[in-house]
Amino acid sequence: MEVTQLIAWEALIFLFALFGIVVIQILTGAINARGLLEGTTPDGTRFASAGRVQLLIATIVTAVQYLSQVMGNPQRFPDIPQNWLLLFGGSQVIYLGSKFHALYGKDSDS
Amino acid sequence: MSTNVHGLVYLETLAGYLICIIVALFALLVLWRIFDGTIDLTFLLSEKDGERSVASMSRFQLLIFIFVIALSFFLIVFSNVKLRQAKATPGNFDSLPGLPEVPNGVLGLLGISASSYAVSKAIQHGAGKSGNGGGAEARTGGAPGGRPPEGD
Repeated sequence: MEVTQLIAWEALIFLFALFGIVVIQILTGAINARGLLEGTTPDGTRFASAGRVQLLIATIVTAVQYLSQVMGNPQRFPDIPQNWLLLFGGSQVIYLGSKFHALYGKDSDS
Repeated sequence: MSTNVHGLVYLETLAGYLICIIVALFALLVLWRIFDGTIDLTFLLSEKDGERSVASMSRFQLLIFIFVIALSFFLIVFSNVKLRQAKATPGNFDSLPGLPEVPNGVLGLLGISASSYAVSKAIQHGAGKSGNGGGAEARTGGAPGGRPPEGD
């Protein structure tokens, strides 16, 4: 086996093993993921946050799309279309807006 | 002269293998220590605030992007190495591969993610200062029966 092949396998195994360990620890609760999709109101009540759910979906979709583009043509980093950035930025704005509303909503309503 | 060249090539290969083995040992050590809990990742996604810690969406997002970009970078570098090796001629140093350029879009994506994290923290901090959300109480250890603010 050539050195370059060895490096490639080494890096690939390390990355996937690290990814696998992190995923397993998230699933088993060893990495604390409690409250990932929950928001908090000013009085401390927790609720399922739509802003967080849509951000999670946008993140996963963006990541999968990007990886599939790289695997399709692994000669260079693929450009990210402006639409993606707008979509992703919009998703972040919705998330931040919902968080802002949850924390300050009571003041502005009264 | 040719014996010297062969000797150097042999030495280069040997050094390459040795470095690979050393790096692999370090990688194994890191993985093993994460696996057995010596390297504690419990709060990898959490933000400790007061006595509680809750998972942060921004940290989770950044973790995913880091894995994606790292894997992409590795795939691209390795693909370029293979391509250039195929085209290489002996003594032609132009065939040595360089690192790939990271386009502005990728930096923009990471920038949006990071600035969203910062804005989120600012909102949370502001809520704590204005007395909204119980944030100030939580940051000073939490009022009895009170709840700390959300993690991101």
